[in-house]
Amino acid sequence: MKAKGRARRNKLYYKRVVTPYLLLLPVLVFVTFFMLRPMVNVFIMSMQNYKILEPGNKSFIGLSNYIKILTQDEVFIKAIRNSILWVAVSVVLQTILGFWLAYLLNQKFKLRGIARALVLSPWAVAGVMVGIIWNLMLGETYGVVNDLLLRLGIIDQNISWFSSGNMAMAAVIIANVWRGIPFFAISYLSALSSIPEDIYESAKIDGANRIVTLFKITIPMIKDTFVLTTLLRSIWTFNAMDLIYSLTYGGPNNSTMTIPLYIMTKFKGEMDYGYASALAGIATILMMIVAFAYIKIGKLGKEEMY
Amino acid sequence: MKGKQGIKKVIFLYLPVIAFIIITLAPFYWMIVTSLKHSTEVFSRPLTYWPKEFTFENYSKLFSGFGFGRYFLNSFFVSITTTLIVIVLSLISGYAMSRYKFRGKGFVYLLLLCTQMFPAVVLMIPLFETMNSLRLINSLWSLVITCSCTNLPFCLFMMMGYYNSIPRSLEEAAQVDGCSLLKAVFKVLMPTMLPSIIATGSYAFINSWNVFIYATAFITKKEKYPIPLALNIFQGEFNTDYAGLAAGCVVALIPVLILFAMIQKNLSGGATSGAVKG
Amino acid sequence: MKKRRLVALSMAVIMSVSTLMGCGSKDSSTSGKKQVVEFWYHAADEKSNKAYEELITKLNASQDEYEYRYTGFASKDFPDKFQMAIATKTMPDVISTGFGNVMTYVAQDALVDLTSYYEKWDQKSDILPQTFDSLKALGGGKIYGMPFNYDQQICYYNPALFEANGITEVPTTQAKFLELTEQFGNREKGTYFYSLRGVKPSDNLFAWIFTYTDGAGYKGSFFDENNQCIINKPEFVEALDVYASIYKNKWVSGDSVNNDFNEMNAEFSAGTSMFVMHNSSGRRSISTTLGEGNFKQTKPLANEEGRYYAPSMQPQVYCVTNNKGADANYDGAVKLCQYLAGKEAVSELCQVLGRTPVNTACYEADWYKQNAYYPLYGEIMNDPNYVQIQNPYWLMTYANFIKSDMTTDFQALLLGEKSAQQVLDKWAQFLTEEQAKYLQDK
Repeated sequence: MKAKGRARRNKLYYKRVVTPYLLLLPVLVFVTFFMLRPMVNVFIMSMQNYKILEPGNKSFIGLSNYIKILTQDEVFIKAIRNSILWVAVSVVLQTILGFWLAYLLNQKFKLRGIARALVLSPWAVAGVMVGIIWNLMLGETYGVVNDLLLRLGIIDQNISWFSSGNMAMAAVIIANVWRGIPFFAISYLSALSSIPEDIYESAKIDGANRIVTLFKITIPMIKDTFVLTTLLRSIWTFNAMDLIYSLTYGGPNNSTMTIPLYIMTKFKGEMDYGYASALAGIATILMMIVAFAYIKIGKLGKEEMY
Repeated sequence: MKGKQGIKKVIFLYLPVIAFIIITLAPFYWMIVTSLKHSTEVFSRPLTYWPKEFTFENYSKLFSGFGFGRYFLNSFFVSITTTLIVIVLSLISGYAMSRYKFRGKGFVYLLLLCTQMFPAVVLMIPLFETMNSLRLINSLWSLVITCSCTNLPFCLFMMMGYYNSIPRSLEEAAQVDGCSLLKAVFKVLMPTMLPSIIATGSYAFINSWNVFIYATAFITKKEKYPIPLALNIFQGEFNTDYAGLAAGCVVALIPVLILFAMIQKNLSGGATSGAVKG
Repeated sequence: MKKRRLVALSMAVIMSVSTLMGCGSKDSSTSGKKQVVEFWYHAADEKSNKAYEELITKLNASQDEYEYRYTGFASKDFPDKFQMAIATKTMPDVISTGFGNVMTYVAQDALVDLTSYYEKWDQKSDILPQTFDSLKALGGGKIYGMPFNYDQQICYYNPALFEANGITEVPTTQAKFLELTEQFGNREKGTYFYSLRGVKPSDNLFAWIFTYTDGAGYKGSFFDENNQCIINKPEFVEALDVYASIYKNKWVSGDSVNNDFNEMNAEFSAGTSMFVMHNSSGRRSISTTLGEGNFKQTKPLANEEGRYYAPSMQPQVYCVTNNKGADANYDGAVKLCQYLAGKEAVSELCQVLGRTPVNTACYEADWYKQNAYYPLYGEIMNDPNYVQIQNPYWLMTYANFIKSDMTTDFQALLLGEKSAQQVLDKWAQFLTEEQAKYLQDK
């Protein structure tokens, strides 16, 4: 009886130590083999003079690519600025609107099911297609937006969305916000639903109004979801380029050229693999810094993290 | 009293919902209308808000010569398989990340986060080489694997968050009752977490439904194309078939809409409150 | 117990995944004795897929030495796919490609020199001599591809809108064109005479500045005897300023700064502009969106001397990939190229796709003679007033240069962020440097 108890205790201890690693093993194997290994390869490429069009010249050049990017590349500076604008505005708008939408859809009303299915649908459209649809709609002389506004008498002259950098940026952000709201809505909806209703009830009894409940209960309760979704969405938005490319090609005059789009033109156009890899490296480092700062400020996971 | 509340409900609930629906649907409306027009009507002036002459040729084209059915199945296969893998793996490892303290946890966390930051374009060559050595080029499994990898970290984080929000007492109680850990997780936590699993799963499904950049690299056989790659053929060298593209996009959207309609009920609901009380 | 179950579960997941993966990659190599020759077409759509599949089936039925296999790629995907194939040494045997990309692939040692095969080809004499010259100039004396069609730079206009606006004469000169552009460019109404192309503007732009200056000493090359690029001469700067003024004066839509071919065609098809410059291959697109019969084509705009400059014949070609080493036997692949560049196949393809053949044997056929559009191309080709601009596509960076840098700089010029002088100086400097590198390697 006693021996059995000790064995049981040992087993329990053993279990607590080994189990998490076992549980994580498949994921780690997957990610290491198919993500980390290629990433290391890219890192090696970034230290090389590796231009496809100069096949004979492949050589190790240390940090030269990085130095060149940081000191001489004007497009890179422009792309950084554009990327920040693109990510910040897109994510802030998506977060606010997405939360609002989730909040609305979490209430009970008639035809809620249909409303939910409809409102979530933009998320299902591929980025390339979003670009093409919005291009078709926003075109100055052939688009439906101008036509509609003219007919309604809201404007008396066509708006040109792609003739200035700011307008073009606005256009890609609008399209991206349209597409991204549902993602936030879904995330928040499932988080909102996990808040027990009795908390609201007791708040109501205490005489808290809607706004107070929202800021004192709802938002703190879903804070982790909030921090995580905004963080990850920022990372993805940063890396998403198919929508931009199919809507503006990064133009006019590079005014919607973001870092990943720039990497793509270096990679696919100039085929300077070394340089493109270094750009990717810098982009990743920059994002890591921002992300960690954000996690620290957002206190994601609280004491659970170490 | 009731009237006043009714008005409040209209202003704060119905009006915004309707506004959201209109904004959401306007581009779809335009897409559908475009897909029902002859290609000569797409740009013709004055712009027609309803096809002058209905045509289903853009749709029939998809299924006759174009072979959309095949691409549809491919996309389905990739999305569903990826979703299943991602859900299972993130359920298991999300539990580890949420419930256990162990050495290297922070490292794992950062590792997973970093994989999300890397621009996909530059990974193409090394990944292609990996897939090639595994003889997976032109196999849909290459897409399943990459989609799983790219979606796993996020889904894992989501699951972790969901586990965090559920009191540990729940499965401990079950374990005390004599359930094994696995049983406890699956029997007690699963129903509670259903909305979360569905949200996570739908996320993985849609991302894989739209897989594109890797598909360009890994799939060269037409019969293995997923939908986004197949639709590219409408964007020719000197020719973009907007009506055809729109039709393809509408068709590609239908299964996702059905999915949303099916899952939306599970996205919320008082499941947790009941469980915690109990 | 519980632990074991857990291990079992995770193992099961891994196992099931890996076994399933195994099933996915079965390679069906049932070719028997026949040698397989893979062919990738670079700009596929439904119509071209059908046409090529039929042609390949026919070729396979006619002989039993080789088994030819066709794959058509969307033009958007092809460069990526082929690049990937080069990088990982998984190239097909034959590809098709546009003129501008040939040297990019040659630089990577991906294509086989076809000169000797070309010399032996029995239909060699049927190929337009101009295309032969372009190809030789491109390859520095070597021929890397069998040509099958070419693009002729022309203008399209909308006759109904011309009539409605009382334009009785189709403009043939740049002066007349500028007049009409000014007269009918109306931002308030949103209607214009011309649709300018801001993305990849090179063909229109070079045609304009060379015609405007009557070449300014151009003698068949962008480079003078000292290998200095000539395009930043003061005459060209002035000509470019005039072209940019079309945009700056708001005689075209604001969006046109970021117009690629699709947007330009959309404006033209919407009837918000009535005149565009493009090549003969764009015709199919215009007829899809505007409708056959609603547009007409005319010669490129001329200068006061009546001369017009336009890009030289840049044929699309079939190339054999260097996947077996330079001295290997490529007979099977070459046979396919010759078949596809031959009279029968070219007739079939150009008819279906609305392209212009370079195989003159086709010119006698009924389908060619009855076509309403081809006579103009023939006329231009034999016109003494037509001067060909030889774009330096032999520089392997040129194709990307016109796509990226030229687009950005031209847009900066239109938006007033750079001057014509700055832009042309930059281009000239770049091209001079690249030419020096090229000559050095040679």
